Amino acid sequence: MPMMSVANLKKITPYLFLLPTFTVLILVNIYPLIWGFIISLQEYKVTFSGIVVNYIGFNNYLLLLNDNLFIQSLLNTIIYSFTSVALQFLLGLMVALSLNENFRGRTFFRTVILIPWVMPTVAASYLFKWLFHPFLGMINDILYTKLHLTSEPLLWLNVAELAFPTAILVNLWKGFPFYAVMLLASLQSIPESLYEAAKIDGADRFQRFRYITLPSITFISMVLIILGLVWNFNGVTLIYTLTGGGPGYATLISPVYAYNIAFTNLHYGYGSAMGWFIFPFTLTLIFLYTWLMLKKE
Amino acid sequence: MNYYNKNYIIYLFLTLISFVIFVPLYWTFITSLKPPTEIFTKEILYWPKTPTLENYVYLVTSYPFGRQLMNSAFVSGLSSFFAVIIASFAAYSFSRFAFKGRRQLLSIVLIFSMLPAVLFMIPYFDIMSRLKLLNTYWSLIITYTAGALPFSVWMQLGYFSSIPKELDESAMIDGCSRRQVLFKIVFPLAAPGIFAAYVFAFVGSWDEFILASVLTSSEDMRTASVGIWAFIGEHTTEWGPMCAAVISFIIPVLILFSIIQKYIVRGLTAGALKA
Amino acid sequence: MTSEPKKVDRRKFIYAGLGAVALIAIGAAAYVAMNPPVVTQTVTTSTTVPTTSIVTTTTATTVTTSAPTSELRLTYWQNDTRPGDRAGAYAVINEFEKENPNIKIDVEFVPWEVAQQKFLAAVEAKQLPDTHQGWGLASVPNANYRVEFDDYVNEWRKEHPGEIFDICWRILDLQDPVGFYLPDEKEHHFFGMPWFAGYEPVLWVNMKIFRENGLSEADIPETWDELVQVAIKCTKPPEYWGFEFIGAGIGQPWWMIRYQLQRWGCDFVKEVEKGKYKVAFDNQDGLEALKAYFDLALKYKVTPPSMVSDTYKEVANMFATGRVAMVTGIGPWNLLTWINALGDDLYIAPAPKGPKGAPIPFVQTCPIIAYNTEKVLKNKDKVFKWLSFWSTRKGQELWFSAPGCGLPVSQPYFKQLAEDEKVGKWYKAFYDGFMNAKEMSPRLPGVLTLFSDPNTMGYVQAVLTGKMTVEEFQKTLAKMIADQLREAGALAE
Repeated sequence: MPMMSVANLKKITPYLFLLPTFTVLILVNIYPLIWGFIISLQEYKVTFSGIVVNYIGFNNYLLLLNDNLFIQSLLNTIIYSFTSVALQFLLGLMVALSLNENFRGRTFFRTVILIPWVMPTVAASYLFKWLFHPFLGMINDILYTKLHLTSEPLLWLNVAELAFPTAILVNLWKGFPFYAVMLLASLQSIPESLYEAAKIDGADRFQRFRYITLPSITFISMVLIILGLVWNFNGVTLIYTLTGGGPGYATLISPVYAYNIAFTNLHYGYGSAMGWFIFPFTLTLIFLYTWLMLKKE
Repeated sequence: MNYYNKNYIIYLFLTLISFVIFVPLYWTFITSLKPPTEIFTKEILYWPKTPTLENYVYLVTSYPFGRQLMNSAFVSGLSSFFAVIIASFAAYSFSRFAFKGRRQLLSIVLIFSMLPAVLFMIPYFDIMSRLKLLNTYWSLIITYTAGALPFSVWMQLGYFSSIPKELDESAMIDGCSRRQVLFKIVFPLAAPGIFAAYVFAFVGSWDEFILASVLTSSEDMRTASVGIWAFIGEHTTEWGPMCAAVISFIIPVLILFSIIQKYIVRGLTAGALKA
Repeated sequence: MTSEPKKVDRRKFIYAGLGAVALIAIGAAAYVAMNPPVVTQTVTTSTTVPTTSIVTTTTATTVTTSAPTSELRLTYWQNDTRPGDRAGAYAVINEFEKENPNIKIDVEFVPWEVAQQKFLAAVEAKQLPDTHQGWGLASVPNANYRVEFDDYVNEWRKEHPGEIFDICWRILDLQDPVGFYLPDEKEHHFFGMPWFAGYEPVLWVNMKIFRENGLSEADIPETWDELVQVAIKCTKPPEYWGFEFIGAGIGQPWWMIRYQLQRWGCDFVKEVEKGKYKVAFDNQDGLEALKAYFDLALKYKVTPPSMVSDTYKEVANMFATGRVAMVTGIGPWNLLTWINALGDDLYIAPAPKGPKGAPIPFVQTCPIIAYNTEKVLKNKDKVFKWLSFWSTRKGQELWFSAPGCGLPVSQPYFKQLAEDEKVGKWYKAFYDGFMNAKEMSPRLPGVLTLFSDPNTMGYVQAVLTGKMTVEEFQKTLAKMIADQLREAGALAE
């Protein structure tokens, strides 16, 4: 029936399998992508007198380089992403190692750590905003009023020095379960026999950890870290709801800044350019990932 | 360190973590039981003076939250289903064949997941209105499927990679067609992994908010995550009903998870993530 | 193969799982298909805010919208989405549909957070609603899409004299719900009907804190200096503070600063000739005004340290929980919550004046408007019936029964509230303000992004956290405003 020779069919089979995926991705995303890119080349502003569209080439991108706030937000984003991912990963690893052991009540804990993952980000950060309010929130009420652990109510989200770490903390709460679950699965796949053999050979706990556990999860760890970095680079919701970028501009990260510019200032052109400017950063991370992934084979 | 010491430390550690996790959840829970007069009081109340179910009642009677939860379940459930199925084929291809452009195509798939989705709101709205799909389930299902695809491909690529290629080859030598290999051998073996990818896609789209708020208009068609936002007003926030909504939102999912979590972990383990 | 049994087991389970999911999905789809959305709107007596509303509360009614016949269906977007607002809207809609059986209203509640985006997306896709809550989108060109109802409105005014406050009509007449002047604005046209009003230059006082510090009603400050002295007396950190203003949020901090500038006889800009403005605060008076403002936090420390990131809502809650003695710039939006929280200790007075001026009261009037969709243009009569229902006595009572937000624009109704035994003393202050608002607050040019730009809020916070001096603040702001005016060709040379 098929007109193609077996050899030809063999050649295009891989691509056939990829067809549905790429069809969906391209169909759904192509118009927004083109629209977004063209917009970034324009001065697309929504004003009182209507929508003003001026083609200005790459001016938006030049403006970005002169925008001190943008440069600062970029720095904030880098610090925020790296710190968040590092902490999320470490905590996730510790939790995963704990849950890897066999003990009673394991199921209970395994379900509990999923709670932050399942809670909608919007609700979680809005709630934390309330909880961390120095006077209306529960945290200071316990720490200061009831337990007198601090000498005065801490201004968690109200002071630049504290707001940034607090935001990272909230991000940690929300994000670590994902790492925990993925790492746990990885740990569970390490055959027990390896550990047995090592014990027999006289290796102690730390040596077993260093020479068996760690290498087994190296690959997945690198993958998770790269993915995490990309997600934190692009994520708007948490910071936007928690601090809105404040106080001052202490917690302003680039995606939030872009969102403000695009949807509150209504400079779509500029906002779009910002999005595209950040893009190469995440792009390099992706290339790093695929290089790693395919190197493994 | 002997057995008992190690377990003791683990219990302590996990209990501490659980406590930290529970703090916001507890606060949400008690706020949902408070009447409006007790939400902002001079002395913070750790248990309502007059616990009431009026917030939950409001959700059920005057606000179509039950319907919105169903919308969320339906949209997330179906879109994740489509995404995982479509992605499994791509994952199979990436893991089995060495073809020209493999690395580049894989990169492209992943790049799609890294695009700043926020700037897509307006073009998506435009497309959907032209296709007359606004305020229908399909607009969300289509966009969520596309959104879940890249990560699904990545996850399943891992599982498929761990199923030895030799299995395919020996089956084909025995006379199986490619299709038979796929459906009778590879998919069943990777099924737990596919299931795990489904769960991740589901949770990922479950709290998606921005697209849902733009593409749906009537309250009946909204998803639950948008429904929660409606309680945040310009001058006040209705914390009571909002917390009740959040609790109703996550408790069913948690119960479901506690039942199937064994299978998820097993699915993730099924060979895929070995170094 | 040795792993044969395990494989089959897993496979069976997974198939079952996927099958179950598919079944659920299909079942849900079937359910939805067989049950087209039935909009059931239950209006109950306000349970979320204990009843101190004096209006006869509506009893529970349910209205089910059935399949359309030869009737007119109008879409209506409302941005106030709290339970009280929703209940109020449904109350109005139900009654309106009862009186007008051939008009049906499809309401959509679009939360403020996404209102702007949703509106713009609708514009792009040519999917505007027929009618809309008419304010808050100050930076969006909904001006271009509104439909004028001059004849209808003028006739209505003739038929209903004294029904609505004069000042509200004047404000709507100038297309000025929030105080902005748009260069190509269509003045002296009416695009909608008045619905509710707001009024912010009042001073709220927690009398309990006053008493604790030996003060009484007679000590309620009338000037800025008095305010500072009273605030100092009433500050006992961390239990409570004397004063708080809004430190964060889009727009709101700037209104407060404007009132402050007016206390020293300044303003952000002053209109020199029609359409041309000059910056009006980059002088010594402006500097003193700003210094006095920030000194509350920096020098006298009478404000809570959380102020720097307290938005309108947090300030309202701080006041409600008795942590702040006085606030200003908060309008009537939280009135009933505060009555419940503070009861008779809640006092209201006009906002204090300054050495060279006073905050110019501004009666914000929110209209309900219609857009130039085909349906509207073809059915202006029926659309106006819907718009004007909100302004009638009955419509007003229904909106405020639930309670909806804001203050009534109906003068007789408001008078009744002001004379009521229980809530009269608060409403009276507002009522008097409305009746005395003879001077229209000078309008600001619409090109200023100050009130809609989330990035400018950082300046206020920078001063509060000591990262910027008040002089730098003044200079930066002046330059920004001048630049915007110049770019729009509105700078007076």
